[in-house]
Amino acid sequence: MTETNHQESWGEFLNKIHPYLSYPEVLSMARRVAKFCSDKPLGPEQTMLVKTKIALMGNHTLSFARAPLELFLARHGIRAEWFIGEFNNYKQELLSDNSPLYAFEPQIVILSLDHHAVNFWPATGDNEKETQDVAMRQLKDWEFLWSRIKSQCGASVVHSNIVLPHEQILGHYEAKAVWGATHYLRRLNNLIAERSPSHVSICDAEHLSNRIGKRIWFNETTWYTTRQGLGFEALISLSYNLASIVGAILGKSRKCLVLDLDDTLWGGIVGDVGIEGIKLGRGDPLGEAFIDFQTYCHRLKEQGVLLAACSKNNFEEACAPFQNHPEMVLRLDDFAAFTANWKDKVSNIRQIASDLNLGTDSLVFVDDNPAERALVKKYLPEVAVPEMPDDPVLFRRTLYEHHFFEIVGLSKEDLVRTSYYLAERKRKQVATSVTDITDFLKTLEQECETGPFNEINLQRIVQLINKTNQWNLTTQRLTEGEVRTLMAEPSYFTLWVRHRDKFGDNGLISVLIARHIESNLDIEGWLMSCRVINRGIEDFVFNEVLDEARRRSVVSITGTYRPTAKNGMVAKLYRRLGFKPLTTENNGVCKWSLNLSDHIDKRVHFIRSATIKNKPQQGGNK
Amino acid sequence: MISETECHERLTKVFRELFDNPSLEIKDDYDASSIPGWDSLAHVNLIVSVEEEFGTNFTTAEIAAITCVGDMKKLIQKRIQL
Repeated sequence: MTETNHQESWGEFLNKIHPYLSYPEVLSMARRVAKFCSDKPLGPEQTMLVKTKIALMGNHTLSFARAPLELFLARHGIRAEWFIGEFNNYKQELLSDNSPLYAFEPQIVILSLDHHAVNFWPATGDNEKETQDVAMRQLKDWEFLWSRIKSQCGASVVHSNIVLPHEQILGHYEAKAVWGATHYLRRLNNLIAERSPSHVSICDAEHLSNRIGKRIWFNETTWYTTRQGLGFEALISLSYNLASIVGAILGKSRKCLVLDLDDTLWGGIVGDVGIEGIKLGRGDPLGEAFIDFQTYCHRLKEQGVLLAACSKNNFEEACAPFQNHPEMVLRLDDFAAFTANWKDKVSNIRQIASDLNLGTDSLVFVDDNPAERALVKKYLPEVAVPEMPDDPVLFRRTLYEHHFFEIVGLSKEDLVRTSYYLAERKRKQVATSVTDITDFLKTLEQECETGPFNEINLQRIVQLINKTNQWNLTTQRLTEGEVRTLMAEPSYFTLWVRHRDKFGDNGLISVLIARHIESNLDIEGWLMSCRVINRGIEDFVFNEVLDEARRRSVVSITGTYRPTAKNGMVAKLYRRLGFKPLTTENNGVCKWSLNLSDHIDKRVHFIRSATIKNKPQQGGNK
Repeated sequence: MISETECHERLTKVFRELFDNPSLEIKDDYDASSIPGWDSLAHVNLIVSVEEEFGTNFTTAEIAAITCVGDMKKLIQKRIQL
């Protein structure tokens, strides 16, 4: 059992949370989280926690999951209020109109149903069509629950799929016969995936049970004594993963993987042994493992995770394997940032975050060297630093089992993200060669497209709303359900903005939400992706807001700035746009107003308004 | 074999940690009604923590028969003896 050390900082404590903790360790650490969150007065670290409301519903006892979930959510900077469903009472709680569940107003509903919750089973000997009909009847039940949650409270759903039991009554034949329980439950899991709408995310509990093994996933003793059939390893694995999915829904997943090079991406020190001497490639056990680890990192990059290199090396020597080693999987262009020098890694990691316009809390740092890891943990506790095993063949599994980069959807922007950053590197090179910023902006040949929120762009809009931290005036997070609600409301003016320039397409990068009440248009939310700041896009967008205000014949526009630890860059935005301060609250929230009866000049910018093409463009700078 | 004193001390440590009360004292006739927060969830967590502390596992029948601190001690002493 870990003794709680009261000297350690909250950040250092968070870095001790990982998926391999024992149940008693989890209980002990969860108590520290509970204590931390209830400490008065609230310090800055407590107020930094994102608050949410989670309902935990299912057909088995779920109260055991609360403590582990609270601990793992704390790692994502999330503090939840809970509604814990009663044992096997989920249908009544979800279907009843005056259910305490809906009075609780959850933002997220976790639905954990095991095979005891399956009501419809095929009869022995049923054929394919009959079995499919039975399965669809079962699915209808769950689809009804999903739509019910959406219409009653607009919450996001995390549906934990069915864990197949570890016994097969008919042996392997159950997997072959379409009516066999194994075959049928696999069908149901596939149907859950196929039929689940976008507000429903899946927790692949069946996969987790396979990973840790069904013989320890199920615990007969706790099932028969408490109706909680998960073994304690299972409870931890499931809670850890549910927390990662909730984190992804709330935009807390990590965005960038910072990699050491020597003995992390290849075996040996390239500066000592040269590119011929490093272990990388076929014919050597470790060389093959490093290839597979690189392949895994490359696949992360293909799905939108940014890669950065952070190596203590001479720059040319660090680059050489990427340029000249025939078996290298990763290439220099796969990295959004590449640092190789002799400075300490803490400074280099700060620099990487700043170059990529990311907070350091978006980073994961992987290094084989325990001393480097300890240094980063100490000085940058918000960076996730997994303890890597001594044996490099286990690197891939270790990184994977931490689920740092969980996603609940994949937008076109995710697939080409690295190319945006590469284009940005080239833009910066142009910027350094142009002295006057106006000249620079003129040379960029910028274009923006705009439109009201729509289905095609919804996923990306929700993603931006939930992950943008810096250029964000109110940092108001919204679920997909909440965004849909305001899309349907005529008093709302919503705007998405796509941007491109001569170096490439930046995709959908800015979102604005304003509400028309009586004779005023109030900007409730306005945010922009950090990769396009300082381009004058806010001036372009503001002109659109002015046009809309005139169309609606309002007499004033108001806007709010709500300060957070990260959004200082927009503190003076409204002043720059000509607004006058209206009120300032104690917590720094400032309300600004612009009187439209005064003469207001349109803002000057160097962006052409482009016609709307709904198909998002692939590509980038290539 | 584990002495009554050692068993009592190590069990007290588990109780203090779990119920988050560093001055908690336990007595053999204490049951769920004697200690605030000793509900069914805490009971399961208690069993797991005791199993971990003493490096043993109890059977379902043994767990079902535990109602008070004294039962727990007897079970631990029986186990450690074997």
